[in-house]
Amino acid sequence: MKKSIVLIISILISTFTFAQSNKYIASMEKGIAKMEAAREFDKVQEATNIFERIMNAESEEWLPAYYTAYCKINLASLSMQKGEIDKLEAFINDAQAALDKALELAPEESELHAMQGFIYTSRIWSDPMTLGAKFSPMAHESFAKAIALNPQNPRAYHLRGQLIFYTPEFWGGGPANAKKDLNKADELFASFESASNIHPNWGNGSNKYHLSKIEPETEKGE
Amino acid sequence: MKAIYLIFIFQLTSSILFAQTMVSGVVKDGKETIIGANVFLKDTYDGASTDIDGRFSFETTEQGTQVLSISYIGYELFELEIDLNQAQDALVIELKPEANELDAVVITAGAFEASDEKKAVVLNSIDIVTTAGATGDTYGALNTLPGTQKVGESGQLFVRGGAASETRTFIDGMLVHKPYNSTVPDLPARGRFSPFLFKGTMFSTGGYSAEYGQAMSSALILNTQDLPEEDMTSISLMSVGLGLARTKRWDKTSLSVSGGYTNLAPYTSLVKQNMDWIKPFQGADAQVIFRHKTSETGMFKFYTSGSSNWFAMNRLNDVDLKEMNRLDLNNNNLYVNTSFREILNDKWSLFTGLAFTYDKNSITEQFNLQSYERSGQAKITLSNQVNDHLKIKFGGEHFFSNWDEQFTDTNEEVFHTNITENLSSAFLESDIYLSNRLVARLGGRLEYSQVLRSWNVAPRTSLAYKTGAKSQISLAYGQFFQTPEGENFRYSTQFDFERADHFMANYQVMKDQRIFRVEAYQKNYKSLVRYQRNTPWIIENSGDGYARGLDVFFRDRKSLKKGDYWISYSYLDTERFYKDYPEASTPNFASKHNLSLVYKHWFHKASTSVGVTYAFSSPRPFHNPNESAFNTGRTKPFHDLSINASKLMNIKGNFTILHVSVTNVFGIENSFGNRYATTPDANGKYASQTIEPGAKRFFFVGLFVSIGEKFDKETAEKPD
Repeated sequence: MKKSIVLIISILISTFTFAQSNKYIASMEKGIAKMEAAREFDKVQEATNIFERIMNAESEEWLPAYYTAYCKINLASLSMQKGEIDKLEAFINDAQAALDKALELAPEESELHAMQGFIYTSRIWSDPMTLGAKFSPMAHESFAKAIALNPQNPRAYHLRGQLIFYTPEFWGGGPANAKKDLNKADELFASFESASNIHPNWGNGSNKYHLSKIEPETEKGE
Repeated sequence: MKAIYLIFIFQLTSSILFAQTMVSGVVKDGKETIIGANVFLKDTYDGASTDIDGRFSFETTEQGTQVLSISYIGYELFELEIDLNQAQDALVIELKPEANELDAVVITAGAFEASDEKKAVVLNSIDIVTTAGATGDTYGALNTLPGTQKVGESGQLFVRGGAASETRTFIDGMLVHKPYNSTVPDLPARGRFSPFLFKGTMFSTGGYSAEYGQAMSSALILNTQDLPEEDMTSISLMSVGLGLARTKRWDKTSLSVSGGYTNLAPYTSLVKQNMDWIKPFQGADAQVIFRHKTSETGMFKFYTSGSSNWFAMNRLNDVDLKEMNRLDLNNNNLYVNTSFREILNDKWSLFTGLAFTYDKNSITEQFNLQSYERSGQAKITLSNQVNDHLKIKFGGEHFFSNWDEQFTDTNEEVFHTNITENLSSAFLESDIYLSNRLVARLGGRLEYSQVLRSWNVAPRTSLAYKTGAKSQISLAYGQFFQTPEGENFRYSTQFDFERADHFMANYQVMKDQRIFRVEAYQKNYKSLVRYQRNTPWIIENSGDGYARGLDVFFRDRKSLKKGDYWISYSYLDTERFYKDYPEASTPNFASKHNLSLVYKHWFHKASTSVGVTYAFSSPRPFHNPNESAFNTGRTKPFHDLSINASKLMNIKGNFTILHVSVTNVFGIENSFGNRYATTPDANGKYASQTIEPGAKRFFFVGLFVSIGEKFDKETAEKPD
């Protein structure tokens, strides 16, 4: 009898924890699906909210904080397009706060340093002529660190290529100079296998888009 | 049997585990609903986003008392305890806008801030160099802001009815005695310091902090750059000279050495001048800048610049304006500024500074004027963040100055003046945050002047209140004392400080790259120096005056794609009874209406920025000695349209700027009133000469090449 009680309790506990970790993965999957489908602001906001809830509940996982930061940068970008500069700043600050949490949990994770580079890149958007000189070197430093930690991380190359793509030619940027990084990212994306289906696995579409823009742009002499 | 138990227990637990409670409601800010707010039970996955009507609803299996959190960008986190043993389906949640750093209440009365680091500012340092008409001069760019009066023949800053000497420049907290290059009357001056030295500029048109003294009208507070990002060599080739600079950056230290040579001779031979130059303006200058990060939060800065400039011209003599006399000017200047700042702990921070100026000026015509100025300043300030609501700042400074002037007149008679001043001062100021919306600054300054043998105590106070998330009103009052100008000391030291009292009210809205501000002020002058024209040695502090007006500023970087513009308008009504004025009158440097329109456009494909500035000021009075009444002359209204263009290029991997600018494109004949002979001619008339700009237009072409660490992906890839 004693044995069977122990057995029942242990089954119960394991079912419960299994349900819990299942719930984590299921919720993350739901968030990622929502994020991937989201095009307009409100939908991205909904995806962000899911990741933010998981981030607040799961203090030991870096992925929810990572995705929260990524979604907030997307919200910042959409605010920028609407000319809402004050919101842009606020979203970037939120993204940085989320990433700081993730970096505390996994300071040596390449994806997080690539994301840090992306956040620094986003700081340039509101006033490139003034802010580029300060944040561009910081972004490059973060991308370099991401690559040093994992030379197979396609997002580190993709995001750096994208930064160079939009950096004016007189500062050594432009599509032609971005080609090397974008090609490298393309190569890595082709063979990339995500550690799980909730680990970062985005960027290939945008990378292909920027690569496709290189040839005609360079010919036009822009 | 066991199996039955198991199933039974399983069902029981799952029904307990999965008992669902509905949570729903609406999230609002006043009348507006909030879309996309995150509504969730704290530390759980359960929650939802609000829909287009601000509504949310979700089910939860949590039980008992839980904390419901609502977060949304730009709003304070809202938390509410709810009991999940009953349905929570009609919650109405009101969010409060968050007072973040960007929107925090700050004291803005009188202050125009330009910064590269803070976001909520009026201008940044690039704006200063790209303003058309400013010709790369900080003072020229600030002249497009409200509260300033254009005085074309001077080139200096005149603020709200104050004379140029009432605006003082501070670099890293230290007073600059000679901020402008040396010149003669009616020949405009330029600032000595390159705008690229500074990361932040605070231009205060009144009501400023008790930390700054000896300025009756305005304080221009410039903060120098910290460590530069990287090694750099830069070369400037200009139509008026050339420059070379080298910056070396180590981990915590940097050293910059630069030098320049200016010669206007080639330019003046090409472009017709109104001045009769013999030796056009020439100058040589050198700077050394050393910076060292002494700790995570400590910074030591050393800046020194030495310059020498000279020119010679033919000029009508002062006495009867008949004969042309040769005038020679020679100036040598040395300036040293060192400062150290450190955050000592969570509460205390420290600033110390030492500054030194040596200036030797020599003007020779039929007369000879030799003047020397040596001055030094030592300063210490401490600030203490007592708590979230109270910050105290206090400090003391001592100024030493020696002014020596030797004037040899046409009869070889020598007049010698030597004045030594020791001025000590202390200040105390506290910022009190009464709420998120309301901040008060209370302070005072105490000064003792040895040469005047006099004390002054100057109370200063300001108040700012946020009327909305992006708008605020500010009020300021303060007393401002200044030692009378050096020329008065030629005859006497038997006088006292001059004084101005400021009252001002300001309203400002700042949202998404648009700024609107309006400020009304009243300034009362007291104990200004006064003397009779024929007895300038009897000086009394019996003068007074007032200045009142309205300043309006609007800047918009949002409405026009790639375009940016600002509009400044200043209305000024001022009179003073001072110096040798026989009655209260509007001084010569004050114009009633001043308007500036500044537009900048960025052409992306051409990588070129183009700027246009239009400036207008209404007529200014001047005294015509041929009229019996005082100050009856009026200058012509002033109009100027200037343009500039900067093309950004990459030449062999080096960042290069080609800059071209032209002032007064339409060649409008501007003049600044008349100059009169000091003695009447045979008919009892005083001869006159129109004061004109040095040339109708000023053309400038410059090529600036930065040979920096080239953008290099290979080095970037190396792990650090």
